[in-house]
Amino acid sequence: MSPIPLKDRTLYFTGVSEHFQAVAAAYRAYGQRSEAMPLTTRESLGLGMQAARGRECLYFVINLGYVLQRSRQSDFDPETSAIYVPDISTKCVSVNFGTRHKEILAENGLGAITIVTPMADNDYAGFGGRYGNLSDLSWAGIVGVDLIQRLQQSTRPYELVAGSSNSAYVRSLERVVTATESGAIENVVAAVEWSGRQFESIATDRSPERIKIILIGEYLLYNEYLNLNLVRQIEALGGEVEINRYYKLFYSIALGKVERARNSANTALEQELVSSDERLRAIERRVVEPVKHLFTTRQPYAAAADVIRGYIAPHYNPEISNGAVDWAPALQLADNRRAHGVIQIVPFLCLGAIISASLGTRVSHDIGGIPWLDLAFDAQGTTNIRTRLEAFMHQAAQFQRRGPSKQTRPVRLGVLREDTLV
Amino acid sequence: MTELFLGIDVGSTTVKVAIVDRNARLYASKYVRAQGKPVATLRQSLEDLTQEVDFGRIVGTGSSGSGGERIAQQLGGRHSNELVAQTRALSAYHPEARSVVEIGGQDSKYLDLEWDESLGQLVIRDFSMNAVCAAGTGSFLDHQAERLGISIEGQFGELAAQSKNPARIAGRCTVFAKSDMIHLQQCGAPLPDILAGLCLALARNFKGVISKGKLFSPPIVFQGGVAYNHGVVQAFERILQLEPGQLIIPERHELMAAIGAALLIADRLKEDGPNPFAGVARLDSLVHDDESNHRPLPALGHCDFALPRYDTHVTSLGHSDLHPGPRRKNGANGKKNGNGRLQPVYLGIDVGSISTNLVLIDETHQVVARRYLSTAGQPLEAVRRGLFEIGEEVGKNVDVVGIGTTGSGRYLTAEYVGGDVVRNEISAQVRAATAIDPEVDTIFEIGGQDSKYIRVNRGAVVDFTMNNACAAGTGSFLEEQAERLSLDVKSDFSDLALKAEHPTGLGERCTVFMESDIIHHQQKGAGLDQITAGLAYAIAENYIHRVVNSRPVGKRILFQGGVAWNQSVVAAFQSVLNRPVVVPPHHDVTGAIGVAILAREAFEERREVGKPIKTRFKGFDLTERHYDTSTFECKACPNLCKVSKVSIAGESSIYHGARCDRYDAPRKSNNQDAQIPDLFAERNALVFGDYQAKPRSARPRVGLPRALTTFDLFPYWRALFEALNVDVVLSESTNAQIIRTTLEHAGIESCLPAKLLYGHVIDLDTRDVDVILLPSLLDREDQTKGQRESNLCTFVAATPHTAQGQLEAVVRTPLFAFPLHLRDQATRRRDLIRLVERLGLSPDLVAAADEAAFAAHRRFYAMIRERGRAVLDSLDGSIPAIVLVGRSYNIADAEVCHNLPKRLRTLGVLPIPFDYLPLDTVDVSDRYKNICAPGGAAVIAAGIIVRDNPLLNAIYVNNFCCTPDSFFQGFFKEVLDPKPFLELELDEHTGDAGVITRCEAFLDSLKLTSGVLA
Repeated sequence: MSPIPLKDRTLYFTGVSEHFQAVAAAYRAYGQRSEAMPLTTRESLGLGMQAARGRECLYFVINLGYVLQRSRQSDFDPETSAIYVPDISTKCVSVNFGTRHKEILAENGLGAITIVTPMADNDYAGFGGRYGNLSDLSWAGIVGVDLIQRLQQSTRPYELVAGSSNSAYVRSLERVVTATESGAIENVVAAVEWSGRQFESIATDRSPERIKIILIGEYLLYNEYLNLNLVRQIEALGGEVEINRYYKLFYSIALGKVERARNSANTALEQELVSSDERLRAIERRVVEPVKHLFTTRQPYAAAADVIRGYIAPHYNPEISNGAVDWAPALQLADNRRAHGVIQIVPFLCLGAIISASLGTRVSHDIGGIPWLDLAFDAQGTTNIRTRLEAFMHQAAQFQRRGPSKQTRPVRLGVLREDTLV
Repeated sequence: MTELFLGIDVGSTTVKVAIVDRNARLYASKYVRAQGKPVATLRQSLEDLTQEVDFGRIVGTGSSGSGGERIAQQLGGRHSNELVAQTRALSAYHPEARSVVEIGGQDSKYLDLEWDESLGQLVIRDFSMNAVCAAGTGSFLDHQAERLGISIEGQFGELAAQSKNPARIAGRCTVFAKSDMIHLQQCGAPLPDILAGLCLALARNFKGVISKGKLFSPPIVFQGGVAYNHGVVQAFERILQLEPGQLIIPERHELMAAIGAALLIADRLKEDGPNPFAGVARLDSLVHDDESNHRPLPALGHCDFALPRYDTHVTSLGHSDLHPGPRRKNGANGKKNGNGRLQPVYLGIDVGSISTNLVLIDETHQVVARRYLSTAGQPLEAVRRGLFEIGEEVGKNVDVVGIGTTGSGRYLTAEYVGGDVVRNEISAQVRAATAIDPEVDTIFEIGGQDSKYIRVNRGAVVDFTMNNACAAGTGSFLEEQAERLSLDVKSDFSDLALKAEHPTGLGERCTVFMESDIIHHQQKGAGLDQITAGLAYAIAENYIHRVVNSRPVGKRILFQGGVAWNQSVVAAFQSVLNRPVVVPPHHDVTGAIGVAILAREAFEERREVGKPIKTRFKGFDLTERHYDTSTFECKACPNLCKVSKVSIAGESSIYHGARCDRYDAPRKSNNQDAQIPDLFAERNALVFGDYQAKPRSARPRVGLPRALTTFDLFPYWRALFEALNVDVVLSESTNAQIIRTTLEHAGIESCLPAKLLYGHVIDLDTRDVDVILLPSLLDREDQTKGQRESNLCTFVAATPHTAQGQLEAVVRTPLFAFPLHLRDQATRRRDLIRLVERLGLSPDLVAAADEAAFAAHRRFYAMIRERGRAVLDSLDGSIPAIVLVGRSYNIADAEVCHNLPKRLRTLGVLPIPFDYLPLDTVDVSDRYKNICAPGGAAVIAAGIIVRDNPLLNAIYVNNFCCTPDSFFQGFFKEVLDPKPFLELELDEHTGDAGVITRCEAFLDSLKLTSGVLA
């Protein structure tokens, strides 16, 4: 493996989901001492909130909290530590994360920590001469973790022995992470195949049909602490959840850049970006293949770029794409009548999600009025979430029973139409 | 015998019980306020009902509401979601309903219903509820009613319904609304107008935020406890454009969820079988259940540091020892001197939102007399009473030689009592603190509506900040919570809190979130001691994290303001900071003391320069000094300002509330602002030139919102459309009406400038245009050196699309949102070709039109840069210069920035638009390689220029919900360091007084700082 520039430091991944365990493993495979920080706790969140200004987006606060929490542990040395703060997209405030982290960490006596800010623009290059291979391996690991999470969610509501899906997930996560650390994508594929068998062996009863809820939105989807264990809450109310993929984020960035290159008539760049996107999708297909048969009622692969574009374009500019990119998988399933409701998680002050939420009603009208719920989270506990979830599940149950409606647009405000009266 | 069904709805503030038969006939009911004890209230209600109905007939129990689930578990009933329950009740009583407005104590709901033939019932088609905000809920009105001392049941609605001229009040946030209301009170606005304004704010907020731009299909039902309020009913009729009476209010609108819960049980009777009532005793275990899943905090009673002893009879300010000392022998106490002469004293008056404080001090700053009174919405009455009482006490022995006024009602009060010196409350607090302890380094001041943090270095202010539109760390929150819990905030509250062994962790968060949490914890069984201690912690944590933020807290901390009365809050501060926090004597009137000292110093200064002045004091007894208040809507411009007129007998009237100086002239006669160039008016003239909407002609006619990037790009658009032979029509400048329509229609939680696009679109809909254009600007040319890209903020780029999506069903004119990439000529022209094709014009015109337009765009920037250079060259320090840093759409839109440039000029300051600075000469890439919006790079470049020019200072203007600014401000602070700057978070609230206070204090602070440095 090629040497990594941070050989004297431990690289910490401060993500909000367990996908980062696979990313850290991929870096270890390439000789970089790496560690994925544990998922959010009350303490880490509190530390982040104390140190931040208070109005930054939640993602920043969460990540800052991880670092501050880890820095309090006796084995942490700022001089030999680095944190990974990717520059996700120029359409998002995340481009400022690295600089602001540096400032706040310095204020907290942690100025010696190296901030690593690879950019989406150059495919996160910067780590050694074979970064493409490391990137591919990380990607395979992310897809692997995503798949086993989806298997867990499609199995758990129907398991006959409580806890068996969660146990299978824990075993599978370890297997996928270990396989990623081995450095070979084929090992990740094998680990996913093994995981698929674990879930297949779980005894289930799939009757009656549950209410299918598509969960879309931003990073909070993958963090049970921050989303108040939303998936389990929905399951407890008779639902089955399909969460949009974590890695759709990367497809979204690619889509925005392709759109921009297309608008700028920069054919060479467009082709380059499309090729890069295709490379990622090829890896995705490779990793999904051994468990594809387990996704008969779900989408085995992420929506293709053209499908995403097709769903966004009537409402929104695909070049901006933040947030709206999530509509595609939800609407695709809804169009195929395999979903009965859509819940969009809106993290407090998240630009993309706020914009997407403002168009939710319009989008749901496009597909027969599928129930659509936007849930705003401020990571401090939303106390009336239960009421809304209950009402939403009731609404989704009606949609499941009746199917999409041929509804008319509501009448113009202030103009009372007699024909609407009973 | 008819079978009966019991329905229980335990909400956040009330308990509702209904007993019905399967045909929805109501046999008995209760609607009772829970006063923080929902289970006990329910138990009593059920006990009472057993006297009216034979509970042996009950065959099923259903519950609903946020506290209903555990009740159902205990009583063996079934819990139903409250929206589902309400829908069920409507099926029985109003099957024609298609939209529902439901407003309860903490929750507001919008329901979109349809009739399901197969079920024979109404079903929910869509719904929304308040999520992370309780604006638009009943508690919003409850709080305002409590503050005004009027009954929410009956009196509130009756008074509001009398208003012919509702006041303008923001509804987006409870805190903003409260600030507006206080300001209106202090300006003397009539109570019915304020109440009607609150009702309209609530209705607007419901439409804009709760229903999120979703449309209402009639017939519309209004239910929930708030439907009792006639004022709110009228407000909804007005906002929803309904004729009086068209809004259906169910006869028992407050009971709908309870009735629905019972009917849902009736529906399932065959399936579930009868289930007799289990008896009220089953609730006893819940009443006494003390288990709560809260996060316990350290007990406040075990604090390591001493708690203050309160003694209001002391006169000493403490000086070096900081503790109440014995009365001084000389002077003080309002006694004539030995020679029989009257004792010279200075009067300080601090008129705040909650309290009005008056003190007399002698020439050694000793307190001679003091009053701490409730403002109660009538500041002049409080002042009159306080003066009279002090006059009775010491008036015969003292000679008032000077008067200072401070607080949010300082100008009005000065006119009324004959004040000599008017100073902002921050400067007043600092002056008092340094008189108490010359070594003080940190001041916490927490009053009713404001929280202030002031950092002091040897008497000079080196940093200060105030709560920005957030009341979470203020006294009014504590008072309201105490009242809700039926506690006396001054005694019971603290006693209880200090006894708690395991305070409940409520987190640091918005007032409204915290209220919801308290209810939640109470319903889980947390005791009052735990809750009060948790609140004390919450105030301290909110203050430290949201007001102080990352600023340093020193070692000699004085805690001033009314909240310092509360020992538990003092203990919480000490516990969180792990250091002593000192509460000085007279901590509750330090603002009045400070301004009295400032008055004395001003008089001495005048004496020293040989220009002594005589006080304008009108005397202690102002009972004959009659005044009247009235409000009118000024129609001189589209702003339609609500102007309050205070007429004092025999004197010219005092006016407040106007955005311009139309009514100010007699009071501010120095006209110093006339000598200071108005660079913002100049900038607007350069942007909009001689634009005037042309009469309709044969040419196509497009509408362009005067919002967002139009404040930069209008020269471009104007030249472009002129070259294309298209008439362009701008919307009106942002005004009260546009803000109102924005709040009603903008279903997006963005910053105000982005939301305003909605109001401008609706304005354009009335201006006879063929199409309303909504340019989505995606990028633009670099404003500074060294940026990789210059993309616009996502809200700026996206709002045209969201506005189009949400307003298509509201406006008649076609809307067209289109992308524009300004940065690259070829891409820009491709965008323009799509635009002109949409307009039915020839694409052949695009190249020439774009060339002309871009030349106009460059010319505009060249002109403002040239003018900026000349302004900077002319600075010589004689007029202080402040750069307003932000975005063009928040500093150049007078309504959005609360006419800040005009206010600064009135204060003798030259305000400079940030884009007048040579931003394009600054390279910010050494530290900030890629800022997500060009505005960010410009902000940092402006910071560098201000830092390097000793004649410049800065005010940073931003808006609530601006996520990019949360980063940019941090960067700005870094580059500006150590130069201080003022941060102003401005929004749709009309808290002009707060803006002025901050500006005045900032200017004072600059003077003090430079004094020490010299």
